[in-house]
Amino acid sequence: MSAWAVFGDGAWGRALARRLAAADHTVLLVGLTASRRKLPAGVTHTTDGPAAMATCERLVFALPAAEVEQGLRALAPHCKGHHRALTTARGLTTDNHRRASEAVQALTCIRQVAVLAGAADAQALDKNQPAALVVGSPFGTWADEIQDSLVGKHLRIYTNPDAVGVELSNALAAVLAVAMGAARELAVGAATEATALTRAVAEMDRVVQGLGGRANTAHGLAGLGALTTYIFEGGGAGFQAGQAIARGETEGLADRHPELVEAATTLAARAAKQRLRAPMLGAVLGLLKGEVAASSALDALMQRAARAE
Amino acid sequence: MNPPIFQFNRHRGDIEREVVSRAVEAFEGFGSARGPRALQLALNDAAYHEIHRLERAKGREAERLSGWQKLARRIGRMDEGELRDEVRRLATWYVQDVVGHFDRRVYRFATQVLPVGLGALFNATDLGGGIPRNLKAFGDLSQRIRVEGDLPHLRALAEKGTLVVVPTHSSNLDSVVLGWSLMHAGLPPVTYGAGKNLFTNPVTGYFMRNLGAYRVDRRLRHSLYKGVLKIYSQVLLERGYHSLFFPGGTRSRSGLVEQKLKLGLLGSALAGFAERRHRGDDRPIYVVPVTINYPLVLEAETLIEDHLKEAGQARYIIEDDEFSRIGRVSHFAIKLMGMDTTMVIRYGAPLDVFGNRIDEKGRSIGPDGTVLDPGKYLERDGRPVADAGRDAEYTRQLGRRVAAAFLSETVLLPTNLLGWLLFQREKAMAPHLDLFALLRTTSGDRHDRAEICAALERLRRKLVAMEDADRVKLDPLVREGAIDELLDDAINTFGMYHTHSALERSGDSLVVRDPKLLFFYGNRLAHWTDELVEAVQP
Repeated sequence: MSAWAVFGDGAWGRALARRLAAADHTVLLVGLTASRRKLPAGVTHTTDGPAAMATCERLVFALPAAEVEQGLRALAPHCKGHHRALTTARGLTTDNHRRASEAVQALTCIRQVAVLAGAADAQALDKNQPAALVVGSPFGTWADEIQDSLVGKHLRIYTNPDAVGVELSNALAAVLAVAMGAARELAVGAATEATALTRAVAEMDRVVQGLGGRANTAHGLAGLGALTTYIFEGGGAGFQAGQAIARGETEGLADRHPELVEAATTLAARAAKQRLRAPMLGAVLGLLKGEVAASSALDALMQRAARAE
Repeated sequence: MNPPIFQFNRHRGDIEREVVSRAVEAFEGFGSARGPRALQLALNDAAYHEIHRLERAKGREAERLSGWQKLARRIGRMDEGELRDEVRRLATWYVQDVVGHFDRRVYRFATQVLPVGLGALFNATDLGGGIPRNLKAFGDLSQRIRVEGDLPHLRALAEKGTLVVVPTHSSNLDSVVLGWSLMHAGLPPVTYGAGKNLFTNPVTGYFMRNLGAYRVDRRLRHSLYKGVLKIYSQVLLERGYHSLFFPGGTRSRSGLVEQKLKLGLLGSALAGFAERRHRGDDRPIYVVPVTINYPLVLEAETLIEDHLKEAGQARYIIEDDEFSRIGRVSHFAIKLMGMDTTMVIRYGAPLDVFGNRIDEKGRSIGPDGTVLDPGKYLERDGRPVADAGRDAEYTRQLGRRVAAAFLSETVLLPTNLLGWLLFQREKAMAPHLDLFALLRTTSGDRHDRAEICAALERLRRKLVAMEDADRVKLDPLVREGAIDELLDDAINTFGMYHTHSALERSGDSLVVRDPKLLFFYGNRLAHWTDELVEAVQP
């Protein structure tokens, strides 16, 4: 049994705090304001982040990508070398377009970082739906500890030393979900959707490897797993934005989803810098910026030069 | 200044014994095996590699083959005590082969009589009529080798803790000029591992043998030897000997600033720190990235040839390069002294073994300026915990920070700018050619001087912005000199030493003579090529 501090008392923070408490850990759930919501046994709510840092070595940053850097800056003076961090943010930070683990290393002295990603969301955890997540970290002992602490009857946890690949796959899945949402709304048929999904996974794998991740990480829970979750549940910001685009509801779309636009822009730019082929990423960016209609984007993708699979 | 290396000889026997004892202990847990099985595996690994190597060896080396073959046959029948004795015997043999020596008289001689180990070369060489005029120049090496960085900070740190100097590596002269720079900067001498082949040069070999260098035999690939070597370097660090590693592992063949670092010896800095803490010794270890920036590189022609050969990467030890020809070394040194351009040794900001910055008081500080206790990185639940996987990843992270410092502390010189620019122009003129075709066919191409000046100006403007953003460093001539002056300096420098000049003047044109050399020197900028290409467009 050990002490954990979970920063962020939103759906993810609460779901993870509950799982940790169920594994007999002591959990401090840290929010910005006091909470009156009922908490499970073993979880204490607090607004005192520095005090939580002083008593816990194990830190979970369950903050949305847009709030990660701000949160880390506030906590940085209280970080010490023994702290170990787990981040859950999907996508890139909005301040400097970093992966969450990159942000932890750039803004704090914490070195042992892991990332959590995959095919389960907070709701699935709360409802005890059988699901799986992946912990990406090159720090094997820390990844094993997270695995042991979160695993349960209804939740399988896998580890993967490729934290960069896990984070990139997760960010790419969130962005490429736009294309899948648009395809669904256009009612193009199962064959077209399957084609789009297959090519999206191939593109994720290519981009992940080109940007420092390992081969096949995108084929796991963080990439293919997350993307199919969006498709099967018809949810997630990206998938729904794609559906709205296909319906022609593009007015104010970029303002409603700035994190998607920024993530797509950054990932496309990073891919271009490494001269990686990323046609779907480019198409999604065009859709989000309103530069191209969904049907035209599909036509453009289909009319590219033929090549080997 | 009374650095520990001054007392090295007094402690040498003790160091050897500690290394052997720790090596035996370490090999009782070799790979995933433990006890006698682990010792057996370590011996088998050594025997396999040595037999494989010696079967191809000639002369006295080959005579040792039968001994290894006998050992290989006996290993399976040895009991635990015999296995341990054999590992101890081999570890003793290897540590005695590796161990260095420090002679204060040689150190005094080197510091007082010869302002740089380089100078020694000239007493041993027939330089003909060049001697009187050129030797005078050696007296004032500081005019030709500029040492930069926050040297008072480093001097203070050397008193508080142990320095691990990690330089870029372009030439076999690096350790010599770096040794001089330490003396010149008032920093203590360092111990370092040098390829055994370098000790064959009679002059530099003499100094290396007597100034704390230890011998690394790169032909020996087995774990027992590598383990002894790593433990030796770690024991030296633990005992407070300031050390030097070349984390690039070997000289940069391509001229690129090294980004893929070998982490074995760098890891011993962390292991040494952890062991010190374990023993209650709180003295810090500071990692100091250094860039060595030559306007011309002694071995450039051999290095780039080697890089371009298909098998180049595998050719780890070059025994027939310019460094092995003493006349060539002296010729190079004389030319270096005669140049207007200086070479630059730049000491970067020190880091702790976890890659954190160090403040003026020698304390580790986080990105937000908070003072840290680096010992905390080794703790779990309030206690120090050994975790080899964790420490290996810490070392990889440190390696990335050192690699980043190599880029930001690289000092770009006129030859780097002109080499890069001309090579990019050649590439743009023949986009269909691959690198090898380009290097084969572009000799004789002409470039208009006025166009080169205009492009250099644009390139310089971009690099100044990068220097202002702390992304790279520029030589003053590059940053502030007139473009004509910068260009002439580069052309003159190119023409001073190499067998064939990289380029020549011809009226209002510059004529490419050796595209490989342009490629080699320009590669110093290659990391930023994409953004620089954009910046030099008219």
